[in-house]
Amino acid sequence: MTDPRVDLLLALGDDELVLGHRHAHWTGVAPHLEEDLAFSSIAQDEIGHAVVWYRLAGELTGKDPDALGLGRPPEGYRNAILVERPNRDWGYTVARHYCYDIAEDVRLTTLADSLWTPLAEATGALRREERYHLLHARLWLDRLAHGPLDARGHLADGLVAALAEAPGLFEPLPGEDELVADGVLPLASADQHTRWRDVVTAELTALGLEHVLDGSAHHSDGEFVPTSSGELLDTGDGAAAAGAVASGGGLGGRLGRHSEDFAEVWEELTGTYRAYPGVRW
Amino acid sequence: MSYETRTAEFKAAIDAGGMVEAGDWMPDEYRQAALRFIEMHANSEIMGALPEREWIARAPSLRRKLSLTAKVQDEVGHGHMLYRVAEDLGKSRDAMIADLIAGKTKFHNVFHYPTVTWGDVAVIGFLIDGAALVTQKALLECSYAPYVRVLKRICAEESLHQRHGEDVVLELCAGSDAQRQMFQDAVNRWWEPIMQFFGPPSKPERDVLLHWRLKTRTNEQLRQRFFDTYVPKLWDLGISVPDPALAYDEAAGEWTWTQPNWDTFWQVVKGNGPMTETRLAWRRWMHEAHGWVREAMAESPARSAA
Repeated sequence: MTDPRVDLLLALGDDELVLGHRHAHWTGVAPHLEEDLAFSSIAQDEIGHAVVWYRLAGELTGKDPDALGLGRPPEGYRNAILVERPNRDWGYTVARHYCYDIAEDVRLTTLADSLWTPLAEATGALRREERYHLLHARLWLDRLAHGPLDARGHLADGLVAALAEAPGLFEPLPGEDELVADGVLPLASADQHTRWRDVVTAELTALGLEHVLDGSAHHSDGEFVPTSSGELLDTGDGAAAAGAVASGGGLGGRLGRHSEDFAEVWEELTGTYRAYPGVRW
Repeated sequence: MSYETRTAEFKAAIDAGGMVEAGDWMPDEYRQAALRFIEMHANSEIMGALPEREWIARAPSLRRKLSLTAKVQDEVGHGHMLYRVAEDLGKSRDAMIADLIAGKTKFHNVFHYPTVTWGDVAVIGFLIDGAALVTQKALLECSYAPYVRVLKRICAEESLHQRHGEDVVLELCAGSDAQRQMFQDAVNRWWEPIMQFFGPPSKPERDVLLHWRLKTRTNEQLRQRFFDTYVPKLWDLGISVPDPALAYDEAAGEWTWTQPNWDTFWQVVKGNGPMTETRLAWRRWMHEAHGWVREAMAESPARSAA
């Protein structure tokens, strides 16, 4: 019987590592230079956070961070499916970054109250960095939401795709009841999900993007939304591109069941480490 | 005062050690030479990010994954700073990026090659950053002051990269036979491009960059300085250099070495390197796919003003 705290730490660490890995794919090729620099920093923070969680998991398993981060078979990874998806375009990247960092904020705020002291203490440094990730995500969300029609369209498409799989971030962990009962996890995943949904719903509604919450990239009521360019977003006949939600909520990751996209992540992420067992780099 | 007289005075001031600021009067020839040189340096920083970034995803440990991401980020940051310096000489960053991805402007020969193994990351971090550091340190004495200010920061960061590269190399050389061989193979692959990196031996009196003190050392002086530092280090590690003629000539006080194939060099810098088209095509594609992001960026100040 595994310690349920290990499952929790691996879920935390794997989310950070896999998203950091995906984020780092923008390094050197982001849409423009200033953003390249900013997003590289965020990628490094996320990978650094993963190491924090793996170290703590290492105290329970006796394994070093590389063995945990790079040495498990694909089904051993506990990350949500959302974070393993490719970056697609900048609209999806911003949308996922936003969904994820709100979730991380809810999660770290929850864990700061953990009765397992090492876990609660580890959240401190992470929350300081997380503040900047949230500022960055909201800045881009706001900028694209108020941008030219094209930008707003890319953002809306990205949000529809990311929101559809965001529930996977709050998929209950194996052994979660025990974690909650022991006060290791002060708030169950389902309750964290509610908190997250409240924040996201309020913020997207304030930007006139509430339709994406229903899986539609366009307003269905023909509303006009003013944008910075002075154009009016005429949503016209209300032909909504619904249906994107029908992907099972991105669930399965916490049980090691991943999407087809994870195969590529796993190969890249772990290939060199696996090819030379037992050496130092 | 005639243009010729002004130019002569300008040249005399430079020869006397004078520095040029962006707002100063300068001859067109100086402006063009400085712009071309700094633009190519900026291009090389952002194109140089590409071969290394391929190994961020495949880094062998989490520590190396983090440090390589940070390193590539620094290179992009250097490109960012250098494009600003170049912009002040009269060409917009948009125009420079457009010319780069259209293949109209150049970047250093060493960034046209593939990175096959983690050993290539070690060679780039140790030997290519080392070679770049040799040339950039010499540029700290050049005549264009805004470039010198940025180079000071770049050299500080490059020194850190170079130590990081050396650390990667030491780990490989102290590791398993396979790791050691991985590094030796990479040195063998990269030696000729590194020799070419310094450029062919040139006639100083015909070098326009030396004329305007935009460069202060000849290609051969820089290459000799590179040998001084790096060849003994490689030999100490038991790594061989794939040039049987390479030796220090005590009497002449310099290294003898084999000239590489300069036709290959010219082909590569003209855009016919093994990875030139792939890397440019990729950058072109990313650029075109994200025009809408740049447009959104350009429009955002209007909104905050509203």
